[in-house]
Amino acid sequence: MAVLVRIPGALRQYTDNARTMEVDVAGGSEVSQVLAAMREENPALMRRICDEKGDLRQHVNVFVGTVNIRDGDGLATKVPDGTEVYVLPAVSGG
Amino acid sequence: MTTNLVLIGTRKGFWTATSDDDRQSWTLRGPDLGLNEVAACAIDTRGSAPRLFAGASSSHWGPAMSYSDDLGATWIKPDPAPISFPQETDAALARVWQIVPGPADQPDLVWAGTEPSALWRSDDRGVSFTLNQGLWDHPHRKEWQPGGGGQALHTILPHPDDSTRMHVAMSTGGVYRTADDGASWNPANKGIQGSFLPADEFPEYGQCVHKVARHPERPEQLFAQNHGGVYRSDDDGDSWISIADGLPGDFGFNMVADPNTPGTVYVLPLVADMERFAPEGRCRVYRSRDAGQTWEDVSKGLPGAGFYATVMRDAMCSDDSPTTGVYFGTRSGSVFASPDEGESWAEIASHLPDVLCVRAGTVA
Repeated sequence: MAVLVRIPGALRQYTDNARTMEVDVAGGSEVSQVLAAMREENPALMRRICDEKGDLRQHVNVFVGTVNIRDGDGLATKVPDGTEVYVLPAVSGG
Repeated sequence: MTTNLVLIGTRKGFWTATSDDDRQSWTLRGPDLGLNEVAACAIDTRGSAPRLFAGASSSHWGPAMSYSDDLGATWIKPDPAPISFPQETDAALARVWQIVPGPADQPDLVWAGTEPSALWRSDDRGVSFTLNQGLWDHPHRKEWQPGGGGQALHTILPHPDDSTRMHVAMSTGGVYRTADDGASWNPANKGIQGSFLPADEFPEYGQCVHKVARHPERPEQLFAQNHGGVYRSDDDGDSWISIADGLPGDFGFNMVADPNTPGTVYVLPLVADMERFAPEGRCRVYRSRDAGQTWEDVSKGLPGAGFYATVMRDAMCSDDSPTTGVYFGTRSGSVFASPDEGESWAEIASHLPDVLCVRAGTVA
């Protein structure tokens, strides 16, 4: 299935200013598989989203539809067919 | 014309200060590197043009090693990441703590120290680094514990005459050294106290050494500011003796060796572990010209009262001028400079974010 991922403005320097990225993953995939497909296509983008262990960086959020995966099953959160994935920096800092 | 250059890494951005009149006046430029925390920086003058390095970390997008070939006007963040822990380590880079250009006859060699504690080598002038496996696999690793700032390798001292030898220091862990080009490492902490440890106060390893320095013309002599205790070794780290007598406190984070004069060192004493303030609220630098046998207060021009800022371990340094300049930046955002071996001081920057690292040198 094709999954549309929305990229935040701060990271579009790594997507040639594209606002979205589409990756193909197997039906029933989890977020980890979506991120792996993104890494395969664009490692420079993905090193800003995840560390080299594959863990989501502390102040980066990923939403599947309206669900923050930290409130779901984390990287094991399922991505239903047709649901968009959002990468959002946390509103944090000082 | 020679320009004196000071790099200032802060909690939130990077500044440079330059002087074209032998350090009498300074021009400050910044912030660069956005909102990144810059915990390590270095000036590499070996190539055809100076290269600046910064270990910069975005709270959102993670840590990265960056470099600039135009004195900080633009920065390059190489892809793939210059420092990336191999998958089999099950580790991830948290912060770059130290960047040390190699010797003049190896112009592409650069060393880096990181959190988690690891030593990295670059043979392409900082574009890519390789993990030192000998230290990473050290059986003591599981005993090293993170200090307040994290489990970091913060000091790298390549031997100036023998490329197979090096000292590193970690908090905690202590001083380790290699004599076989990094294949094996042994602790070198005999005589350094670990007063915070519950049992053995003089362990083989596990000390919280804050900074180690040495003079290139006297490489067997090392100086250490410990988490409680100031020490000297005259035998390459085989043994250490206390040189804290004469200081108003034996706690602190800094140790700077004068590059022009063996045996001359600078420290910034704090009262104690549980009272991390300059004694009597006076900002004071202490200098020894006899390898720590005696100390003198060299604080002319520094705040004489009401000073409660501290100075991070890499936020004090010397430059490479014929008359040594000494510099330090505070967690209250000030940078002080002395053009004359600490005899006199002036504030060259103020109201910056808290300063994490300072490096100084000259560029043509």
